[in-house]
Amino acid sequence: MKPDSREAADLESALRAHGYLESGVQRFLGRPGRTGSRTLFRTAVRAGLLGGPALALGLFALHASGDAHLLEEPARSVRLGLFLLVGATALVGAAAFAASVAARGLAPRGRAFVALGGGAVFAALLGAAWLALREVRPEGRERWGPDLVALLVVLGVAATLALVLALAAQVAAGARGRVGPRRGGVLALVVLGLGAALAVAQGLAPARLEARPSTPFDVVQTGRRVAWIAVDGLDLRAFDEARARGELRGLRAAAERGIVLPLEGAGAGPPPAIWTTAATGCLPARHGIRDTETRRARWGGRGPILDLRDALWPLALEARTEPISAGSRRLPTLAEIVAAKRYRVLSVNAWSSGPSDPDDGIALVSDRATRDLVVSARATPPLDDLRPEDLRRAWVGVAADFDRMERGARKVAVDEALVRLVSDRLDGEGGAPPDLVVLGLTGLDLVALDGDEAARRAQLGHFDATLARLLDRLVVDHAVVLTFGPGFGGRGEDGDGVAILLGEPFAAAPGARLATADLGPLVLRVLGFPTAEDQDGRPPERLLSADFRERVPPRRIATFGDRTRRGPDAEALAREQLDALRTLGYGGGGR
Amino acid sequence: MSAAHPPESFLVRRAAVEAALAEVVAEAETAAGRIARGEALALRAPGKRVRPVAAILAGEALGASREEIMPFAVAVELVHTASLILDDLPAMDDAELRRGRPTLHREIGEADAILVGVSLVSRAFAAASRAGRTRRPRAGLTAELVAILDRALGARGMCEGQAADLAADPATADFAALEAIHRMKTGALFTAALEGASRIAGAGAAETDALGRFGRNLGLAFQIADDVLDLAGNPDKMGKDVARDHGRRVTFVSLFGIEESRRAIGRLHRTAEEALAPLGRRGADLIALARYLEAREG
Repeated sequence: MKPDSREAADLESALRAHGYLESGVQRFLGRPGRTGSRTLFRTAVRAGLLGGPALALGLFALHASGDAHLLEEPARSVRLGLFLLVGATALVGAAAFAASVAARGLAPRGRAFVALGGGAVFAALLGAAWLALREVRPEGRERWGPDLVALLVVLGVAATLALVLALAAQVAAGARGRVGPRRGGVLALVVLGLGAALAVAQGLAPARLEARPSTPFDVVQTGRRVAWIAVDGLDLRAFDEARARGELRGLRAAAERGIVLPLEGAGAGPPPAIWTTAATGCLPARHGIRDTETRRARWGGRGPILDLRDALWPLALEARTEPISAGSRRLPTLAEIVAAKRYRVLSVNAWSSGPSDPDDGIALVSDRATRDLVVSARATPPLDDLRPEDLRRAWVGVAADFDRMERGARKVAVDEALVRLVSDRLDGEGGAPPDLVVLGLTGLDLVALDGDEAARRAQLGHFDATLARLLDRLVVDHAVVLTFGPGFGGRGEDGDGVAILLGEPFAAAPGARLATADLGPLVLRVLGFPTAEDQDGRPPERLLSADFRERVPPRRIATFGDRTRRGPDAEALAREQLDALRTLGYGGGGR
Repeated sequence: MSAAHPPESFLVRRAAVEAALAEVVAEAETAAGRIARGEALALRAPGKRVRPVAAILAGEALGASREEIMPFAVAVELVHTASLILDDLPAMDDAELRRGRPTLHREIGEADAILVGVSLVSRAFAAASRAGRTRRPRAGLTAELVAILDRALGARGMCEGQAADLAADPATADFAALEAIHRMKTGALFTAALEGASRIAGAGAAETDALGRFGRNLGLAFQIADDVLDLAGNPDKMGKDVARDHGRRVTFVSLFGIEESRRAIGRLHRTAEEALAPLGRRGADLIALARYLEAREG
């Protein structure tokens, strides 16, 4: 028989439109307003389906802002969010299906459907998560693909959670104690148990933050060494005021010999963030150092889940505050980049200058943010016996108690030791002087805050003399980059600091300014290293002599890579170390 | 069990229904009048008894006894028989064969056939009123059952459906019109049989709803199958005229073609079966009934 022209109409669609052929989803969701159980069920579904994505989107919004403690490391934050949701889903799901077995209110077909579907979703999500997280870079922002996949994973987990919650609501509201086989419920429990086990197993694995390697490159021999001295606590206005009073004569002389520039952004954040930006050429969002402290999930650096309690009790997730260390940094500093090419590096008292690894060729005297450094002033040895290896133990402790010291006598002694140390190293200790010297000095910010005029004068004089001695010793073999951050005493209107460039190959450039992120690339450029495309800063070519630019043309590579090793074990840092930093006024402390 | 043959559960209940109808016939024959003889003639004609058996199976699945459901099941079958008598009249379908025999109006005359139909409806309501006397009598149950039968039969059910069917123009009728016709003409009594059984059994809202969706989908599938069989069925197995409706009345086959109609029958049956999921194993006999109906050839 040949049907008439209306055959083209879709009978199945017409049937659905008139309330026949309800789909599984329609039956699962129920019809509105029929029974209390369906109303509850529907509400749970809606809450889950809306709330789950909202939660996920919220997490990623925090991720974007970069302020949430969980999200300081994007890869870790994704893992945390994922396993939090998976763990919660497994727990809620197990409870829901246990209730379903007890209540026996669902048909076996429904139980089997949900159990198998839930198991398949779990397996797919875990697989997708694994694939996605493998690709997430430490900085996590350069490739939207992995983040998008991770977002979809989180959304999927949230949707699964919503369905399981909905099932629980259905069971709770619709249970009538009817007879029904338990196989569906038992199967569901088994599947969910496997899902939870997989989640725990996956979580127990160490974090797989696959670091990018550096792009291979060669170094051009420039014949120059570089010394970078970073000092907290001076801006152009304060510098001018001190010069007007006839103070800081050594520094004034240095300025007259060199090129004085505003250092943009030097006061735009806490010193560790600023100096790490200078040392890496990248902004804090990428290098990961935002303050003197960082917050990690309570399970620390080994991975998101350390034990069963972590896996089974998502609410136990807590952030732990700890001092930053070299291990907190995601990117290599210029000291590490240079040392990796077998150049000799001396790094003294510089923020995040670690790791302290002789194999890298870095002679690390101190790293103000590592646990080896931050100890109580009570441990300060007698000054006469101060040795370089003791200096790193004493430095912050001494500074912390500076206000209570006798006119800074101890600081004077420590600075004396510092100058001796640098001089010894510059003498080569049996070899050539270091190709790169990175020095961190403190003290000028104390001057700005201290109302004791006599102490202020004494400290300025001492600082100026110390700096002059260092410069006298350094300029012989090194081009010197001297930088001042406003620090606590910064009075600059725009938060800029001061940069003074001394020696070849630096050249004056009227109106030139230097951004903090340009410092690292500039130092690398003078040493004959290329600039990485993924660095935020660029070496200002105007500040280099024409001869140098001709002899050493600028070069670019893709990246210097990510740091692959962790620094000191953050687990071992003691509370007193934090207190020591706080006495300096960092991390919420005050003086 | 082959789906082409009635399942054992169906045969057992159908035998019980036949016995109950035999009692009705025996009671009618005591009157020895023209209408009583017509009633006996109509009720003795072999029928599938799908509706009363479905009511019994549903009631049993929900915990009621066969005896509690039987009066209502008989009432449903009486209404169905009356509707067939009236549908076959010259003023309506003007059919010659029904259940393998000459239609009633050809046996006893048109006027008597009309009166037999009316009399069977009367007996149906009497039977429905007896169905309210269960082991666990509930106030208002009889009224509920009478109301269910009324909805299925009256101006919101079979009567309106038949009228719409007769008035439908095959050239302009669409799915919506056809669905409305069959929902009232065929589906209403299917649904009523199951709804009455669930009321007698005292089922909850979820189970009543499940049976309602089962009956709704099964009823439409049954009617589409009738349309298909009307065109392509075996007259011997059908027991009625074949292909009489083709071109004369709008059917699912005329609107959508025979293949799509067959696919729809399958989908409706699957949906009907899935609707019984909340009953678990208790719905097994109803599912067996649905599968038997899906495979029927007449």
